Amino acid sequence: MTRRRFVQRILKAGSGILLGIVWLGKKASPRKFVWAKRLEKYPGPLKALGDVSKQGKWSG
Amino acid sequence: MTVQCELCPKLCLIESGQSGECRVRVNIDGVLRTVVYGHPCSVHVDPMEKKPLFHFLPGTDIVSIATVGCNLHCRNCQNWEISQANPEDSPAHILSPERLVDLTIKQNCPSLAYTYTDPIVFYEYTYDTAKLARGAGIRNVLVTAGYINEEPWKRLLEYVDAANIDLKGMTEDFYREVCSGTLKPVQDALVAAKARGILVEVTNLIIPTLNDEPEQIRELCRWVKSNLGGETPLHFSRFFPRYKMRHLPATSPRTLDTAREIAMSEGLDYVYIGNIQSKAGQNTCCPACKRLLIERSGYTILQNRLKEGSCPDCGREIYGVWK
Repeated sequence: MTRRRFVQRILKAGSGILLGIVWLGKKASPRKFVWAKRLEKYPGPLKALGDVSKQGKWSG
Repeated sequence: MTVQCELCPKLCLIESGQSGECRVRVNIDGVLRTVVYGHPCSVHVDPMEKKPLFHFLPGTDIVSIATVGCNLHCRNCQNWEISQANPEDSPAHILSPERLVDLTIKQNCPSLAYTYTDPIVFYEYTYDTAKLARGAGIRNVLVTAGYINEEPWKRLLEYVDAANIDLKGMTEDFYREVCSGTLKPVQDALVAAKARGILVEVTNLIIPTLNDEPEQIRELCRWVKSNLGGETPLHFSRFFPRYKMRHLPATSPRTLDTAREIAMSEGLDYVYIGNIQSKAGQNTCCPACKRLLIERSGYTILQNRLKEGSCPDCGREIYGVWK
C-alpha cells in the first residue's frame, strides 16, 4: 500500500466516524419544539356562540 | 415536504396535506399548522368540582373550553364525539384568546379550564389564552392526559395554576392497548407539574377487568405517594361503557370503595370517588384529626369549614388553593 492510499483510507474512516458522531449527537440532543402556525380559516362548519352559562354536557 | 410535530411523544411525521394523529395539526405546504386555534367546539360555565378539582377554589364556576381532537384514542373515551372527530365535520365557534378572556370576565369566573378533549392538541390556543388570562388575573386550569413532550409542557406550565391529570393505568401495555399511548411521558408530565408548584390532582378511571385489580391500584397509589406526595388528591372515577368499550360493565361501587381504602392505607391524604354518588368519597376530611372539612353533594358544596386553608379544629394546613 502506498503512503497516499494509506492516508486516503485514514481520512475516509475518520470522516465516516465523524459523520456517525454528528448523527448520534443530533439524535441525542433535546428536541426543539416548533410552534404550529395558526390556520386562519377553520376547515369545518362554524356556529354562533350561544348561551355559555349553562353547564357542559361533556365529561371534565 | 414532510414535517415532524414535536408537541407530543408520538412525534408524528406529517406528509403535505395530511394531519397528525390528533387530526388538528396539519402540514400545509411544508408548514405545521393548527386548524383549531380560536375555534373551540365547546364553551360552557361549569362548577369547579366537575373538572374534577376539589382543592382549587371550591364552589366557584369556571369557563371551560375545548376544540376537537386528541392525541390519544382511548377505547373508553367518554367524550369521543369531539375528541375523535375531524374538524372538517365538527362545527366550531370563532373565539379569539382576547374574546375568551373577556367572556370569562363577563361571566364573573375567576378561572378558565382547557378541558373536555385534551388541551395538548390545541396547545398554541391554550398557551396564548393562558398568557392573556394570567395578565387579566384569571387562573388557568388544565384537564389533560398529560401526554406531551418536556419542552412544550414546561413552557405551558408557566401560565398554569392547577391541573387535573389522568393517570390511566400503571403499565405500558395498558397505555398502548387501551389509549394508544405510553405511560412514561405521562408520569414525567405529572412530576414536572408538581415540581413547578402547580396544584395537581390525579384522576384514575377504573375499568373492570383492565385496571381494577387491587395490586394494580396499590401500585398506582404508591407511585403517586412517592413521586407526587401523599397530599396529592386522587380521584377514582367510575367507568361507564362508551365508545369502543360498550362490552364492559360499569365499575361497581364496591370496587371504587376498595380502591379508596387501598389509597388511604397507602398514605394518600385525599382520596375521592367520582362519577357516582358517594357520601364519604366526595368529602374532604382533615388527614390529622379526621374531622370533616368540606362536605359535597355532586358538584355542590354543602359546607366548607376551612379557615385560611387550614383545619379549624387542629390547625393542619390543607393542600390546595383556597382563594
